[in-house]
Formats: sequence, C-alpha cells, structure tokens
Amino acid sequence: MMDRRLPLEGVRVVDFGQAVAVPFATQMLARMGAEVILVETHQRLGNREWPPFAEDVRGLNRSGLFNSYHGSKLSFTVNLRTEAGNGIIRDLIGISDVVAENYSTGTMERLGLGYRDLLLLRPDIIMLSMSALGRSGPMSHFVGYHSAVLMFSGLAAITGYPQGHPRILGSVFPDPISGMYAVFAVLGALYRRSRTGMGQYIDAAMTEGMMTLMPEAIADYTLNGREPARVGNRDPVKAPHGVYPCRGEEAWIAISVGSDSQWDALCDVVGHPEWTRDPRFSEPMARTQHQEELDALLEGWTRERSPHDAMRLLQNAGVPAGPSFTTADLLEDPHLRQRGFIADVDHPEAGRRLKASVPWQISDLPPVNHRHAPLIGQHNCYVLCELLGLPPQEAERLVEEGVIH
Amino acid sequence: MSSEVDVRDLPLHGLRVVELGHFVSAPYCARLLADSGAEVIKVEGPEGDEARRRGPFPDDLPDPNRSGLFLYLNVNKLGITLDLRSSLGRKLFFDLLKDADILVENNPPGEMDSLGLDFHSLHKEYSRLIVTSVTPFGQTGPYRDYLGDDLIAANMGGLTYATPGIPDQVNDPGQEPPLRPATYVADFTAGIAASVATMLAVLAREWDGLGRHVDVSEQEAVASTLTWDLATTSYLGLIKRRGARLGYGLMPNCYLPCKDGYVVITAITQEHWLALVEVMGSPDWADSELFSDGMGRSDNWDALRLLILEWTMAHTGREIYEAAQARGIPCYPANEVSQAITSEQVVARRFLRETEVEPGRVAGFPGLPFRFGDAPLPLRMPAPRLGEHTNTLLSEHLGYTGPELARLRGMGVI
Repeated sequence: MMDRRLPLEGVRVVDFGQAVAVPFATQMLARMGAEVILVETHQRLGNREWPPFAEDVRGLNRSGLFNSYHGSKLSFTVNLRTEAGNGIIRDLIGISDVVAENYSTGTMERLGLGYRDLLLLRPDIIMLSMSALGRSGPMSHFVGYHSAVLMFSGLAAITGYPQGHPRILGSVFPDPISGMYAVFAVLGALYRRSRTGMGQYIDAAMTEGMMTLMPEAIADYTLNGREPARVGNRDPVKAPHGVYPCRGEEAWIAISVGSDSQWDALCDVVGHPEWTRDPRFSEPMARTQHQEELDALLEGWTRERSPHDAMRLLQNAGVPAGPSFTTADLLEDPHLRQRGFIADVDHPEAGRRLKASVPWQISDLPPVNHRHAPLIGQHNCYVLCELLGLPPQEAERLVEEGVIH
Repeated sequence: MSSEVDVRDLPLHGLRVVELGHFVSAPYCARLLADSGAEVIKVEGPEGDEARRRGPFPDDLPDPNRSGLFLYLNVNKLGITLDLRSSLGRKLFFDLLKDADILVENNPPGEMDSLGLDFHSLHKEYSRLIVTSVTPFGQTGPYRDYLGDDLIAANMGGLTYATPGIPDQVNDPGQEPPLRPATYVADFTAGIAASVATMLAVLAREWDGLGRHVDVSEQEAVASTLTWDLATTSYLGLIKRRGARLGYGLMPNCYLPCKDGYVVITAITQEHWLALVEVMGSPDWADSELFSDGMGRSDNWDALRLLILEWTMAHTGREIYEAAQARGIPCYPANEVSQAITSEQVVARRFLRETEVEPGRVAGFPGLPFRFGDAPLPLRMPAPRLGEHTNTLLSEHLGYTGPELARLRGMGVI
C-alpha cells in the first residue's frame, strides 16, 4: 500500500506574516500539509482585531479576516522583545525549514532574526521576505498596503472606464497574487534544497507582482512610447466584449465573442440572424468599430433575462458568457460546490463558515487540510513541550514571566 | 544572452517541461518554471500560438516573431512546431514526452482525450509524468464544457463584481458595469496557481515516484483572491455592493487627487493618523471629536475627505509621499505606466528585462516578482521564433536525421 501524504508533510514553517499577503501564502502551505506555526503577540494582535466578526461580536477568535487567512495553522504567542522569548523563537527556527515574514524592511534584523542570523541557527533555512517594494533599492524601507501597491505599479492607472478615474482592483488583489508567487518561490527553494542541501533567501516585491501582469502596457510604452488608455471592458480585437445589464438590480452578464462562428451563434440566440449580414457587424474589425451600437442592441436582449438564463442560452449555443458573480453567488455556485472548492469549516468560537479552498485539484492525494484557524495561543504547549522539549515547569515559568502569553 | 549565473544553481534545474499551451495561462505557468531553471519545450501548431498575433508590435506592424505578449510569455523556452492533427505529429509529441517531468497544457476539457493524450493514456506509458491542465472551469462539474476566456472567468470568479476594491467605489452602478482589470487577470492568476500546483505535484512525486494530474480552474484561481470578501459574506451575510458604503473600514485609506495627479493616503492606525496630522501642519479641525479614532474617521469620512483633499490639492504627489514616508506613513504617488517603470526603485532593482525585438529596437518586459538572494533570475534565451528549434530538438532528443526531417517537413508534420 502506497503511503499517501500531502506534499508538504514534514515541512515546518515559522510564520511572522502580517495583514494578508504572507498569511495567504502560509495558509496555502498549511493546507497542503506543512506545519505552519503562526507567531503572535498580545502586544500587536493584527488580523484578530479586524472585522468581520462572527455575529458582529468582537472577540480575539471571532474575526472572519483572521480565520479566513490563518486556517490550518498553529498559534504560538510569544513576546519577541524579551530575551527568553527571542531565544525560544531561535530554537524553533533551528528545527524549522521555512521562515516567512512581511514586516517593514529592517524589522527582522532589529529582532536579531535577519537572514544572516537565521543561517547561524539553521544553515539550510529558506527565508521568505515579502514587502511592498522589495528588500533592496532606495525605497525598500517604504511600507504600503494593496491600494498603494496598485497605484505605484501603474495597474490602477490603466484599469477603469475611458472617462473615469484609475481603479483599485477588487478586494486586496495584490496580496493573494503576491502570496501565490511567494508559495511558488518557496516550493522551488524546497525542491532545490532536496537536490543540493542548500537553503535560500527569497526577496518578493508586491509592486513587481502587479507589474508582471502588465506586459503589453510596458512593452507598448518601451517600444512605441504610448501610455495606455483606460478602456473599461473593451478588447482590441474581440467584440462584443463586455458586461451587460440583466433583469433586476445589479444583475450582469459578461459576453465575449472571439470568432465569426460565435458571432453567428449569438445572433441566432438573440433572434437577430440579420445582424450577421449587417455591414456594421459582419467582420470582427467592423464589430470593434461599432461597439457602442452593438452593445446597445445586445442590452435590449440581456435586460429581459436573468444572468443565469442568459448564460445557459448563450453557452448552449456555443457563445462564451457568464454572470458577474457576487461573493454570495460564489459560495452558492453549484459548480464550485460540486468541485469541492467551497470548504465548510467548523470553528469552536466562530461557528461553521464557508471558505474558498485552493484553486487546484491534484489526483491521488489525501484531502486538503482544512483545520479551523487556531485560537490565540492554542498551540503554546505543543510548541514548548513537544517541539522544543521543555519540561512543563519551565513552560509554566515562561507563562508566569509573560514571555509566553 | 549569456549570464553570469550558473544555471545549475537555479531552483528547478534538471526539470524538463513540455508545454502544449496557447495565449496566456499555460504559457505563463511554463514560463515561471522556465525562469526558475527548468528546460521548457514549447510545442506550437503550424499556425503558431495566438499570442503571436496579439502584439503590441513595433510600430504596430504585425509580425509573429515580434508580438510583445508572446515575447514576454515565452522567454527561456525552446520552440518546436508539430501538427497534432496528423498521427505522425502525435507520435512525435508522444516521443518528446519520454524525457519530460511535466506537461503543461490549456486545451478545452476533452481535447487531449480526443488526441489520445489524456492523463490516463500518458500515465500508462510515462508513470512519472505530471500533467498540468488549465481550463476556465476545471476538468469536472456542470460548467466543465462551458466556453470561457479571460473576461468570462474574471466575472464568474467574482473579481469584476468586487472591483473597485476598498477604498474605491463606483459613482453610478447603473452606468458602470462590473469592471475587468486591465490585464488577462484570470489567465495570469490561473497560470501562477498552476505553477504552484505543479510544484506540489513535483514534491509529491518525491515520495512515491508517481506523476499526477493537476487540474487548475481559472474561475477558482480568481475566486481564491477574494478570501476577505468571502469572509464578509460568510460571517455577516453581507455582499459588498459596488456603489454602496458598506463601511469604509478604518480611514483614511484612500487615494485622492493632488496637484499633479493622484496620491494614496493610508493612515489607518492611530499612530499613522497622528503622524499624518502633523505632516498636514496640525490643522485645527484635526482636533475634532469626530475624527478622534479610526471608526469615527470612517463614519465621518465624507467630511474628512474634503478636509484632507484641501491639503492634497496644494501639494504634488511627490511632496506628500516624501513627507509622509519620512514619518513611516504608507503614502505613495500614483504612477502612470511610464512613471512606474522608470521609478528609481524599479530601475535600481533591475526589474525590467530588456530584449532586442529587432535590430536596434529594445523592449522592456517585467521580470519575476521575487528573487533568490540579491540578483534577479536571468534571461537566458529570448522567446523562440516560430519553429526555431524544431530541427535541433528532433535530431538531438529523438535522433531524427536530416533527410527524415526534410520528409516530415514535406508532409507538413513539422
């Protein structure tokens, strides 16, 4: 019988992650089998103090933000500014594989936990440092959240409607993207370590992560000197290509036609086969030149239907189309449910809550680890006594002295 | 294109990848693997990857070997053309997989089956081969065979409805439909997720030596970026409506017009707020009870916004960001693309990779957003011209001789 394990079983991660980017990354590692120990302190509670709270009642274990980004991890609360606390973390790093952090540049060094310090504790350590702008360069000490990252990278400047403002992308988009990139880098470093025995320092920059998504804009500027215009949902070669109002309030359907056969099918479905012969629309180039008129005609059809009905009619005819899902639509979507993407996690204080799982399925693996996010300090005892082998009296003394709290 | 970095030091050195990808998602996944040191062979049909026709082109003159999008997505790869519609072409492809660790593809579900190249058939012959498939909705489920491109996956993944994100909001929801970010956002996100999942399969193979099928859905990749918004729905039953003020969160956390563009002001902690008040010259209104804590600043944001706006309009973005960052407040000027790529930070980190697109004409492309140690991972090879390495690969990897290659070419197989 073959041994079935999650790919990262046996990998221990010490997680100093703040806000979203690194917590998102380390949650992915934990879900795929790594033992991720989140280092927390009562002096700075971070995500635990952020809404939404279960039943709208505040509480350190009730934050939906915390519980959604720290699932499957362990919580260890320690005061890093005490000598004893700092020593315990060093011991823990000495028996770990990965250290992940996104403090402002210089903080880990001030704690005596910079990469050079870690090398003395564990020569093959893999250290992930994530920051808004990277750990080198003249702006490396600058801090910034998702909106600042989007504005600095230029991605917000090119996103938006022609007459409108730059737009911030949905949710905290740069954070999970940077988090996924960081996971890829860490997995690469783990693979390299298995071949060479060597550790690695990884310097990840969120603004650079956003710029990796803008190759056309950057190439066009460097080649042709053009600054891109904001074009809403338009595409240079596909038409129709947009998001159209449906019956009801805030109900929308996206339609994208990429070929003449899809165009013919669309005209059939909406009951206007004569549009295929209309010189304004008969060729792709003509359609892109008459998008305003085309959109207005198409809206006449979409406004009469619900997004799901429109999707079914169009998809059954071979036209790419789908609703603009809200977060409630996502949680209820039968397709995502059937694929197991929506995880139902029971938390002792926050109750049963739905979360997004990992966006992949890998054959022949045990189920993804969806343990609930840890209660604050839930695993202090495990870390001190089991991992570090401290006698119980010693652990109790550390609690009394406020090193562990 | 030589570099001083020893390729054996790259993290994925030794891994061999075959890519049967087009446009963005699978090619980007394979490029992340290639940049990290894997040897990647990109297989294209005789007509070439669609990205070759997308541009931007120098002076807008279409040329399949000069499309900016293609050149970006396919650096560090070898290129071969094969016609998989012919049985001989499929046989060559099958033989190419002999030495491969990973196959990355983004064909519609079922298409690999019809070519006899589905995971189960491949697994029988090559038990160690990992197959990564990227599709709009995944390999299973009711939407499996639905058609989708980036716009559809971005919408059905929930990102367009969630855009604009905090602290932005639409002015008139009826006039501003849900908005796609100005990039192939679903394709790229799925490509990154696929690179992660592929590496997980590589690490799992270390346990038991077995290849696995990796199924990546663009819709799910997009939805996974909305974790926080999903929590709001799961915890409070609320949907963040695009035009509604469902709590701003702590304020100020915004961007505002300034003298020469826009500036981002983030001062949500009390410490940052008090520092910002000093940077603004400690105006009298800042003492008001209304603005004394983050929630008050959120509740009274409409009034506070105008007061801060008066200050930002009197200064340039650069003045504001320098004064604020000197106090550790996360403020930035908003960049246009040209400003971003010429900023001192981006230049100092050598983030852009310069590629000669035609003699004397250099384009800049984004590099990787992470680096191992101090140096960016190197550009080892430019993207392949259509069919550039067909002869070399077939003769070196599969032992075909000159006359045999000429015959295959005559038959239109390569």
